[in-house]
Amino acid sequence: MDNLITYYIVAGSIVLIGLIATLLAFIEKEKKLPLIFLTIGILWLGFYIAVLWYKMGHAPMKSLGETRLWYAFFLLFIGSILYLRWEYKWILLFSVLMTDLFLIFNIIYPENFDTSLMPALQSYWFVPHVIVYIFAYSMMSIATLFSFKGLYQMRKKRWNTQSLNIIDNLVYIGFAFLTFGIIFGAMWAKEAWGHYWSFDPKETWALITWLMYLLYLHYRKFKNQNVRITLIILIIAFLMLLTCWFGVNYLPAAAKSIHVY
Amino acid sequence: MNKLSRNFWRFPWKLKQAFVIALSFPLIGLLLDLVTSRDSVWIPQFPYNLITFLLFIALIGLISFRYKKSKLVQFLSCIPASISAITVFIGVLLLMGLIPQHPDSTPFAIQLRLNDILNSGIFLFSLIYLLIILTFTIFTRVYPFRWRNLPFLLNHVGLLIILGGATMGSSDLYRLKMLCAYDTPVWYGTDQRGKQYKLPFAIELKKFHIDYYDPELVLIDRETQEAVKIKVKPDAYVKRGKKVNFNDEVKITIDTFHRHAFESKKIFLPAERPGNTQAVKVRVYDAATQKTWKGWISAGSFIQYPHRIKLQHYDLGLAPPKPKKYSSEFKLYEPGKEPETITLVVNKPVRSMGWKLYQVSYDIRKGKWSEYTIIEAIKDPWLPLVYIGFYMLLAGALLLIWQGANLNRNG
Ligand code: HEM
Repeated sequence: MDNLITYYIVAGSIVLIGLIATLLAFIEKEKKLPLIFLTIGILWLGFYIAVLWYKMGHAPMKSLGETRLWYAFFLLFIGSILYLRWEYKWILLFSVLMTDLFLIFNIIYPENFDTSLMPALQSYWFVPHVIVYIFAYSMMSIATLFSFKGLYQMRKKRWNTQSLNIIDNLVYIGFAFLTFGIIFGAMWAKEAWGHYWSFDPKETWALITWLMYLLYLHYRKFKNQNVRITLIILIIAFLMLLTCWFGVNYLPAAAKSIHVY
Repeated sequence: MNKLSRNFWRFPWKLKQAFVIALSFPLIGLLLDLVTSRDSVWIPQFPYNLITFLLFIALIGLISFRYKKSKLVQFLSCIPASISAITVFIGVLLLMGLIPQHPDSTPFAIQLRLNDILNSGIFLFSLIYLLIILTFTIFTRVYPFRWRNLPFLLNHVGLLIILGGATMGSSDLYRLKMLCAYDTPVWYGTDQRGKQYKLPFAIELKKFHIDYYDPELVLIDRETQEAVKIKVKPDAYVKRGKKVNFNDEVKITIDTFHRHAFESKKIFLPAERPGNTQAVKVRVYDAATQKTWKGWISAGSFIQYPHRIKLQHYDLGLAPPKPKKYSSEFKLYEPGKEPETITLVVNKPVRSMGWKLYQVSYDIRKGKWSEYTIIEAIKDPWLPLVYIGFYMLLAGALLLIWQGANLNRNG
């Protein structure tokens, strides 16, 4: 990264554009104005990445700092698409804040642009694989918070079935991203390790997590479903997700995992 | 059969009955494992695996069209059945995720194959139940075709293809390790069980190359010989002139850095001979003794000892170099063709005659003077089918985002 000043200007302006777009999304009735700002932000960041790519002669994906640029780009993009389709302002706010966080992180730690990734991670799959998981995990965390709230409301007899619709929407989006993540992971494994699935502990737990949410989707279609069980399935699913994310390294079954992160 | 259980099995079957049936599948598998002995699950090879898979689907298709109105067929494609199938399958995967999957285990676990779930009857039978329910479900929705059902079909058919293709294709999958020494053509590979196979091509190692990252300074615990865990780990990668501060306890200034060096009388001199090592000359301030030391450190190599500086509480050393990139250059011989030069790099496989070649490993001890490299040759004729399944699931997931939980309401 030779030109940090340019980066400050680009990152700073995108942080601003994102925040303005989100503010507009909350105060404007029409989606048009926020979407114009978001489009400008996405194109501006995309243009910056393209110039960087052209100047360096290879994809800017070799250092931590560079991968953060892609996270920022895709989070902004995904948040905008979900806003365009579903008018989810809170998800937009969340995506913009994450985007800003990644961009600002690089301003605070500019040496990240020089810190290299290990060989297995220097792959085109790295960014999409991680980004969709970040996004899925965030959706599922919010859904889990809602289910705790739901259980509490049921105890206080203040339960409102409306909440389940919000949870459904979050889980549908989150589940789609989990599906992207697991398949991108499989395709990456094919390139890096030779086979798309080896039941490595991390993979096993990712599959368990995915199936738990699949169970939720299908249990929601069950006519005699019990709302409390519905919410508990979600909480267990999130426990599996956490195990997959952090816990795997502490399980005796995973002593030989080939995943390093 | 007493009256109670007859009532229990009266149609329509609900969640309870579904779970009894779902659980009986892995139980049958478990019993079979107890009374039979075998190495692993046996799956027929091409074309018999393909025929089995197609017959399975055709049979279920036939049953589900011919006996559409039957209560049993309706049960096999209903939500309670799928809930039970998914739950039981999750249960089996939990066994796999919690119990170490390792050949040496307790006799009890070995007897029940709990240490090798993937090859156990429990796994096989719960997978079969999942596939049966999934296939029945698909057939109830496939005809008459409606666009509204497209996301459903993409997801479910995609998953069926992936699971079926991966399972039935596993018998046609070859993953062979090739240990290639310099200037020696290799035309065979060895599988995980140590069985050798002849390959239709040969490769001959010509050059092996590793790039290393610059080394990193470490404080080593003298007792455990492991790196000391430091709360705020400084950026300790070696660069000339750099200052590194470990918690204000140990402060280091890097004076000289040789990428390739040999020791001679406690001093390191640059040298490109085999067995050279990265070496760094430092000044170290040790807060414990308030003294400053000067000296050389190095991680060593297969013919040189590591060099460290003894401080009051720790040793200061260099971490073994981390490979940044490694690659092997081969001559590739295919019948009826001129030999060709290929380069194998991690993450970038090369194709030859239906096989894919992957750079896997090398002699870690000798590092860049490794006299061989390890290549994996992989053939997976079912891969395209599985990838079609992947793409269907990806498309199905996109549609899930687009249509969202609305699917739920008009379903
Ligand atoms: C990729 C995996 C899967 C996804 C994304 C998925 C998703 C869905 C969705 C979204 C529906 C509602 C469809 C609609 O109402 O239009 C559904 C229904 C259903 N799924 Fe799945 N599913 C998957 C795997 C499975 C599996 C493994 C089974 C069975 C073992 C199964 C059995 C069923 C059944 C029985 C229905 C109800 C069909 C109906 O209402 O007529 N699904 N699934």
